[in-house]
Amino acid sequence: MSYVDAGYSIALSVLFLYAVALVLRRRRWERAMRFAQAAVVIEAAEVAEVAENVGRVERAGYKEHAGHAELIAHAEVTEVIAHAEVVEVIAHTEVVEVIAHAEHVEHAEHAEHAEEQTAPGARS
Amino acid sequence: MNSISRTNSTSTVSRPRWLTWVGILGVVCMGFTVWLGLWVTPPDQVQGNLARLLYIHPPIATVALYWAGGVALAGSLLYLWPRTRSFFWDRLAAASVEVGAVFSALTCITGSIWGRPAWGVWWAWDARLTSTALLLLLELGYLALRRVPADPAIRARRCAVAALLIALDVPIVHFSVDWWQTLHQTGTVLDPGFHLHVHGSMAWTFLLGFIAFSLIFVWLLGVRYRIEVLQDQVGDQEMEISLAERWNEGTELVGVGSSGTHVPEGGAP
Repeated sequence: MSYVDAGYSIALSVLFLYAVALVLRRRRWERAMRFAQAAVVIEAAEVAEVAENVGRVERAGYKEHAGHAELIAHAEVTEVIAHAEVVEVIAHTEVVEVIAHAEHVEHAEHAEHAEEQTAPGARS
Repeated sequence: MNSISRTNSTSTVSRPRWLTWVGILGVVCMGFTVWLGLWVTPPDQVQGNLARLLYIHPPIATVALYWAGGVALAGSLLYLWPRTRSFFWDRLAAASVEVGAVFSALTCITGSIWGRPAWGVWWAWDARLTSTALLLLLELGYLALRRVPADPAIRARRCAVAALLIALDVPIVHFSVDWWQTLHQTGTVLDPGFHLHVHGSMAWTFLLGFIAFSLIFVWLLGVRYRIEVLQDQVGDQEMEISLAERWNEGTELVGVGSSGTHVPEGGAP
């Protein structure tokens, strides 16, 4: 091979290889760009999903709180009812007791009256 | 934070069609140059067939020295100038320096191949050869500096200053054969008085060689510039992904904290 052939071969080969390398680099970066864009979209979707999850968790917290409040209210109501029942029972007992007392008093008066009627001479 | 906008880096850059045609035209011109240089033109009276190497060596050197050096200088100056500061100029200068480095290396290689039979040596520490080798080293240094991790604006400023050093070497290479008594001959095509030394089919082949290598340079510069843009865009996208991941991690932590026994104060909204 002459110097001329070597010079032309080396110059053209180096330029050709550099051009091919540049085209391959460009394609690789274009592919990386597409992946990066897709990753950004996925990342944005994940961010939205996480935000939604956080919102859901917060709402669940509120619901839980509401559940607690409902239970408390229910317990209070139950307690009030129980208290009312107790009060009612007490009242009923008191009424029964009053009635019994009244009956007792009535019986006593009736017995006294009968005793007076059965012994008139003793009085006169 | 960058003091200048990089919005032009985030926009999608499509492949310009004219660039493809420039590349095709460059390859066609190159084919004609090789055909004319190797088979059509006559041998030189003094150098014989060895003169055929001169259809590619001076055009390659012209691209390396003037086109690549000129674009790198212009891009760097326009970047450093506050009114015209844009990453476009920085990327253009970087692309030009890389392509210029390839042409500078080819200048040294083809010159060396020509010098072995003409001078009897592969290399001589001649002013033209040494200053051209220095140009190649400066371009490699610029490319190394560009790979140093830094803020884009700081990196661009550093590289612009480095490109000015490259540009300082260009007139030294050009005038080296006039300033010093060297082994390298003076102007091959034109002398300092702009008198043409080459005529006929040899002159046309020379001219076609200059056009071919110039077109190839423009095409390579365009492709290399697009790679610079894509690198910046991917960097920006990766930054966005990293920020989103950080945000996700932080939000998930907050979410875990609120999913336990945490009940917002003040009750349900």
